[in-house]
Amino acid sequence: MREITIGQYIPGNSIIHRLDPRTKIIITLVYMILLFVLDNFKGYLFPVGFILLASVLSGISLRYMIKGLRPLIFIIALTFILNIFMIKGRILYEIGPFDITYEGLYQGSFMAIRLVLLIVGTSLLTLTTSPIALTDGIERLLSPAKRIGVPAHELAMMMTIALRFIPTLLEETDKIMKAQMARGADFESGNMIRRAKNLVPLLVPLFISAFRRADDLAMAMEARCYRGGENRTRMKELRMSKIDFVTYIVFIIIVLGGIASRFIW
Amino acid sequence: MSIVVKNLTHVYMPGTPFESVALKDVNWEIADGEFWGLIGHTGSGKSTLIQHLNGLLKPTSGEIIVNGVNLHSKGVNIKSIRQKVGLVFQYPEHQLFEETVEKDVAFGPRNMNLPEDQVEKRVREALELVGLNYEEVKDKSPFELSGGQMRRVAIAGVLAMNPEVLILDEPTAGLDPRGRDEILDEIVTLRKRRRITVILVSHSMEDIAKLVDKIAVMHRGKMIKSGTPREIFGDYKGLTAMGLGIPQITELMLRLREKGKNVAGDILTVEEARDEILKAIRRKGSA
Ligand SMILES: Nc1ncnc2c1ncn2[C@@H]1O[C@H](COP(=O)(O)OP(=O)(O)OP(=O)(O)O)[C@@H](O)[C@H]1O
Ligand SMILES: [Mg+2]
Repeated sequence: MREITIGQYIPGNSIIHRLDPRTKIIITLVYMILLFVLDNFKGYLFPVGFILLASVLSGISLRYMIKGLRPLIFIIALTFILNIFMIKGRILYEIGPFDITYEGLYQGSFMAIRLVLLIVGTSLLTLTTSPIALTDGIERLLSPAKRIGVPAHELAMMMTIALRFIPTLLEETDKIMKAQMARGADFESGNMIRRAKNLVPLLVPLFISAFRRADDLAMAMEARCYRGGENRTRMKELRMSKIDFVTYIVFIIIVLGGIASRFIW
Repeated sequence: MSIVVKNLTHVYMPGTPFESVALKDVNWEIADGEFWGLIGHTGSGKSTLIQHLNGLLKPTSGEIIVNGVNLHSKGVNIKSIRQKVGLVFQYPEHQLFEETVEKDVAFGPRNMNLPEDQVEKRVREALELVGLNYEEVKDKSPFELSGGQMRRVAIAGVLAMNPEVLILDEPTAGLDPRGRDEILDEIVTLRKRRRITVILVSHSMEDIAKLVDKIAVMHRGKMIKSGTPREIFGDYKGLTAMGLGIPQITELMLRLREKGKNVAGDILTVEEARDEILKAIRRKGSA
């Protein structure tokens, strides 16, 4: 239950941790677009190099990030296999009605690598940015849209609260599950219908506790006179620094390199 | 029913940056019929330890042996162990979920596939053991009861499985003094009636001193001491260094002793203290 690493934040004080969240969000977005613009292995040398550099600087072990891929291994494998069999071209090998083609193999591995880079890149963002900083960054990036009626602050606040309560709810689930198991409940065996029914003793207390928490939180916010985004100041103002500046330059070089590679090779 | 814990170590989330060692090489022997108190500072590993005793948590290393059977050897029916070793969690009222009190308490016995007439008998007994009137509460929704009553219903839910060992994790947390005393009294009565083994986790040194035969002390994941209340509370300095205390009355008597009064230093209850002080006064009067 608590083994899920996607979306987790690992506190630290590396250069990557200290970057302005806006910088990290923008770079991650452009990085994702870059992954889809590039269409050959050689071009991917640039994003791969970028990820390696960033993860070395962040001090988070590559092993830990790869562990985070584990729950998604199925999707990656499926992408790989579908591509191998679906693409027509020079036949390398035949299995019954299916052909493995040279082009399929190429495309399949390319797509798998694209997915891996996509996941590793985005998890690098969440691993090095606390949820609070992340929503702060999103709020600031969205704030120009306030003028056309986008409730940027409210959206960011909802996200912060949701992120804040994920671990709490997981913990609660774990606790209630154990308490019911101590009374002989069984969450693991039986057919689908049986299993769904067996979830009732878990879900009812979980919902009750979620509503109770929501109520408490609303009360606590009201008691401190919370009234939305208007005229709110913050304890920590986001500020771009020299590191952000250097990061943008390095990243622009990488993007240009990647795009140039399309034409040169 | 006896439980032996051997070299138990438990690590939460091993292999991640969040790895934390909650138990380190714990050894503990609980003989049939004993009444144990388990004390320790917040985060010392008490809840982690007791969740091993009915197989809810798996040891990272070490063994749990219940009545001579190793819980994690092959072919052990963990469900029947959970029925014999009943565990009441902290704030157990948060696990209530049924429409009526009767159905909620019957959840455990029904999971054991008992015949319906047996189930009803068990529910009636369990509710009465925790001091609730069966006819009065059985058709009520558990959510319309008071906090103290909800807690009793939840405890009854575990008692209805007729456990041979009952483990309670801070059963009195958040109750008023009267509710606290009532629940503790019920535990004592229950133990007399059914002759079961009881383990009580508590932050209240008074309750522990008053009730249990033996105390185990947890500190930073290690079980650093176990013994009779007199042995444990005799070490005032050691306990306070760990952020724990001794019963107020024990402390009072120790202070009197320090002031040169001729009283014993190992007093545990107010009654004992009264007798001891009266004795001291009489001694002085006759001298
Ligand atoms: N599910 C979990 N995942 C990760 N760490 C945990 C988990 N449960 C407990 N811990 C950690 O294990 C240690 C022991 O916790 P435990 O709950 O056993 O302490 P406790 O003695 O029961 O404390 P308390 O008196 O506050 O109930 C703590 O450091 C806690 O942070
Ligand atoms: Mg605890």
